[in-house]
Amino acid sequence: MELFDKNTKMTALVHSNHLLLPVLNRFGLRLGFQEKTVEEICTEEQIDLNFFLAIVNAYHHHDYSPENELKSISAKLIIDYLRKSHLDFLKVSMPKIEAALDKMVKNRKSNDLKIIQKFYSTYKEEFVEHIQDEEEHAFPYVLALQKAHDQKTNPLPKSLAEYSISDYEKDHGDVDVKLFDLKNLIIKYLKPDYRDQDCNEFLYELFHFERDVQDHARIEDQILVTKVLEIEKELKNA
Amino acid sequence: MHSHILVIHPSEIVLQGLHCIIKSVFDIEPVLLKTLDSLTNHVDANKSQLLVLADESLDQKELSNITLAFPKTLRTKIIHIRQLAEPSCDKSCKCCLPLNASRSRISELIRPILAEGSRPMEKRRLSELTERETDVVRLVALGKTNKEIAKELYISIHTVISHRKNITEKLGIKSISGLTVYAILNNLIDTNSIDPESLI
Repeated sequence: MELFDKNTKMTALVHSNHLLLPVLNRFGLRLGFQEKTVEEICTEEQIDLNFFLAIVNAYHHHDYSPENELKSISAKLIIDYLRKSHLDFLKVSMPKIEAALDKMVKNRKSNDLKIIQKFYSTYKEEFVEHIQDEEEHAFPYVLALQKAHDQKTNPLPKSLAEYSISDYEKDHGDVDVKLFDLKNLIIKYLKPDYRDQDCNEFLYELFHFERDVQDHARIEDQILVTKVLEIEKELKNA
Repeated sequence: MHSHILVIHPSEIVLQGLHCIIKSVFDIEPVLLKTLDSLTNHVDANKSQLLVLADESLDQKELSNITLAFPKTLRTKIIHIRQLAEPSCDKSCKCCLPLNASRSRISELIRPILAEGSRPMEKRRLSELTERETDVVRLVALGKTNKEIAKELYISIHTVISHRKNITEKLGIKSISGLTVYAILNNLIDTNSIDPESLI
């Protein structure tokens, strides 16, 4: 496993995995990298180098878990990134999926896809609800906890002391399962009266979205939650 | 004929009644039995399909044990003869026959099964699910719990769970609403009487 490091050229990083482009956008990076390395660009843009490397490596290598690298990163930085990905999902990825699905439905005679569309919309409802839950409950809790930790607040306010991140962070399982089902329903059971181009476009978007969501869930479950559990332990033992 | 039919019911009236209807509609002589005792002796392994119409009061566990021992080449479908239609079973129900069913309802129920039996083996293998698994998917899609499914199909909850596990493995679909979409796409649900979108 060859990890990206501070001397990797930013251009080489994009060449090795173009799916990282939206990830770079979440850090506010724009193209035109010239010969600059990751370190040079992070310094210019005031991006935390270790955090950037941890995120792009975790995205590119499925087996890589940057828990150690992220120990020093503040929860706030991680949450900023997660929030930007949420926004990306809602404003970019999902509208793209919906547009592709609409196009597919429009160009087809049978009613099958109406049912698929309905399935997608229930999936979306659950997904959006999950995101809102994190934005409204889990993230504010983590930020308040980190603040209490940094300021060595003792004793902890009741609103923090009584809860744990495990109360907030619900399992991603069910949401992931539906996305997988959606792909299989199309690949295995669609009747062949669709236009190839339309269906491919829809599936490309779905596969890409799934990859993004899995990466996102991994950062939440393995990195953010692990980190917060440690802070909780420290604060409760203090 | 590729199929044969067995009717098992303690009532002579029911036996003769079904015999008369099946003979006149399908020109098949069903075998009539009052108990499960000699069931195995009446199974014709040369046929490709066996349809069993069995009274609901029979020992269902024994019945399913007996049918499980039949040759694998013989596709067996069991329909339960009930005193009354279950409130949850509408006209699209393919697994039970209430005693007050009309002649046309009886032929509607049996005809597709016989048609299925006359299709060549090769083609049937394409449908990935067994008949029983298909029944389970249909009931899952209608929103039934494992407990309700077990009751309706006269099998244990444990068996329902094992069917569901196999279904998920075969189809690659895990969520209930995903299975519902599968059932609708494959016409397992009568979409004339139920709005399919309301199920998802």
